[in-house]
Amino acid sequence: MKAVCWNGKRDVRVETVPDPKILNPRDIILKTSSTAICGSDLHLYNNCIPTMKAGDILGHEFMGEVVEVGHGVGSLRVGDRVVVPFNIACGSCFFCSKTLFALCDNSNPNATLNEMLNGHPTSGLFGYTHAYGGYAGGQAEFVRVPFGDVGPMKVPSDLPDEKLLFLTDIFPTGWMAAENCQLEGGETVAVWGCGPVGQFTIRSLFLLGATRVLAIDHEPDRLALAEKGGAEAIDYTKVDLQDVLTQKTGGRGPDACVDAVGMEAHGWNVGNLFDLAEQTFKLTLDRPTALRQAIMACRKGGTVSIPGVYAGFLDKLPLGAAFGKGLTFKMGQTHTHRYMKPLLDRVIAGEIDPSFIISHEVPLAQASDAYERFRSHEHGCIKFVLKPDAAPAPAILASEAEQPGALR
Amino acid sequence: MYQNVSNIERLASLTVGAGALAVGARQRQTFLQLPLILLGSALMYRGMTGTCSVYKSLGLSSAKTEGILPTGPVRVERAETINRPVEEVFAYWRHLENLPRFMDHLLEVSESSPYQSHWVARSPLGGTLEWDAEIVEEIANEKIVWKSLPGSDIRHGGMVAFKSAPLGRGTEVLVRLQYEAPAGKLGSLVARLLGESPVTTVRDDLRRFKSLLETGEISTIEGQPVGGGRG
Repeated sequence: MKAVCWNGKRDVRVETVPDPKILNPRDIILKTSSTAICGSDLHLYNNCIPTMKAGDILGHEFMGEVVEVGHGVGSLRVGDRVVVPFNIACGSCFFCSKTLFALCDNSNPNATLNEMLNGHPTSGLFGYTHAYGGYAGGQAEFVRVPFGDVGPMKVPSDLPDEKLLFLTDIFPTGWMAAENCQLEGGETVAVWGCGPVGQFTIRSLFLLGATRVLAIDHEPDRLALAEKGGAEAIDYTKVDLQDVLTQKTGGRGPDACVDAVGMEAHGWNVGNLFDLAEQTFKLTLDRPTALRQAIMACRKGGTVSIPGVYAGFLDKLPLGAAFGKGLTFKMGQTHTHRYMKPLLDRVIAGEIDPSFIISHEVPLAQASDAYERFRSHEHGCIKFVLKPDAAPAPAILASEAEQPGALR
Repeated sequence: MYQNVSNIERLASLTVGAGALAVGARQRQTFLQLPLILLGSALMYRGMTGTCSVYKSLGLSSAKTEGILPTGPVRVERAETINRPVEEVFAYWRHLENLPRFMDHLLEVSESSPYQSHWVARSPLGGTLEWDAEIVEEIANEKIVWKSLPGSDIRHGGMVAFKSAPLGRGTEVLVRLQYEAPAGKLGSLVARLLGESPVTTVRDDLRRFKSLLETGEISTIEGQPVGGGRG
């Protein structure tokens, strides 16, 4: 089959590899109908997260049709159309029973390595480093899904892939980021980063009762999409961010702040340049500019919610300010399984159409080009969906007329 | 071999020591030459032997205790909580023939009597290791204590204890193992060099035991597709 393989820093290739097989009784094999490149895949593309190996198949946002079912899976049949959560969970350990699926005890075959990094091992993830299990990902024609009776969720046949695909990661991730803001209704929330997760966070915040969302980025197209979602756009390169956030909130600061950027923040302040130098020489894994700003801006007693990915030790984090203001921190990989069904219901009810985020749909064969365009934030490149079935063709650029959610 | 200086520090000692010796050798004034040569020699000795008398007198060590030769038998301890009732966990373990299902190095365990068993394991050096073991103490749903019998390839003893975890979280299992590796200390060193750390082995075995009881299988990526010429 064809699969998108990581081969080193900014080196992603579509290769021919063997088809996946059932390896455990509770496995299923899926024929991928749609798969997306996630913002967090760019951390791997930029080689910012350790324990990738050349040849690893990428991808953790995918859906498709069941083509093979292990004898331990009673809940699915060949032909079922399913979406698959990006984290792998067994469904029966202590953490799964508490719906903390991202913390599953039993799904990471490389638990020892993960334990060295984290103190205690966390769940396996599709296509996301060997510390998270080294599982082959879903940017491929076929993919093996462990614990097929726990993760995959059947979806209605009358909804297109484009409305369902993001239930695998970024919609639940944005939702959990918003839920982690612990809103009671009427709050003002600031969101750092208007990439796909930031966009879903903005829309989820409104669905959960926020009155105002202040969206922070520097890419005009992303800010424009945030405005379409109802947020007030702030280009941090043009203003004194701390000052603007304070004045826009009557001097109080946002009730909650969301860092939807993570470890590779932009920004040309002294701290970030220092981090960039450290990151280049592998002295640190993370550039936490957004997180620093979020802590400084957040109102006293407020909440900082972190859906952005971090992987190491943070430097120069203003913990004194966080302590002084009595902030609450909520973070972590999304417990995707917990949110898929309720969010599907909201999609069916028409409360949100997740396809708004798609800017491009291209054949899987053009994945390496798509990665580079996404990484460089080429204008209008917000979300790439890869189609394994589509014949390779020269640069199919989704025309704006055909894409209801596309950007001007 | 006793060592209390880490390998990086040893390398640094050698480098700085060699430098001090080289500079000292060129010095014409004795009051500079002698201290430099003494310092250089001390650092070279420290680097070559990996022992530092200053550290020793202060009770310090920068060397990792793992990765150097053990001074006695290998001791390993590891605990894991399994989300199943203690009766089930105990019964699964007590049926010793189940052990090779999650203990990676074991090929076979056969019970010759209620308390005596024969074990066959893969040796880290290739081939197999065999031994007979005897359960010397058993309290149902609480603990099993065993030791190897004379004539075994590996002289060892161990204990596995079971107790109900608080808040209905299942069963806490504690494994304590003590053994002399094949060919004594040398065998253990070789085994470790090959990546067969007993600590890792016990930890991974116990994790597989937990997975097997909680999910009915042990998660794996062996046999999955891979590109980049690794397939």
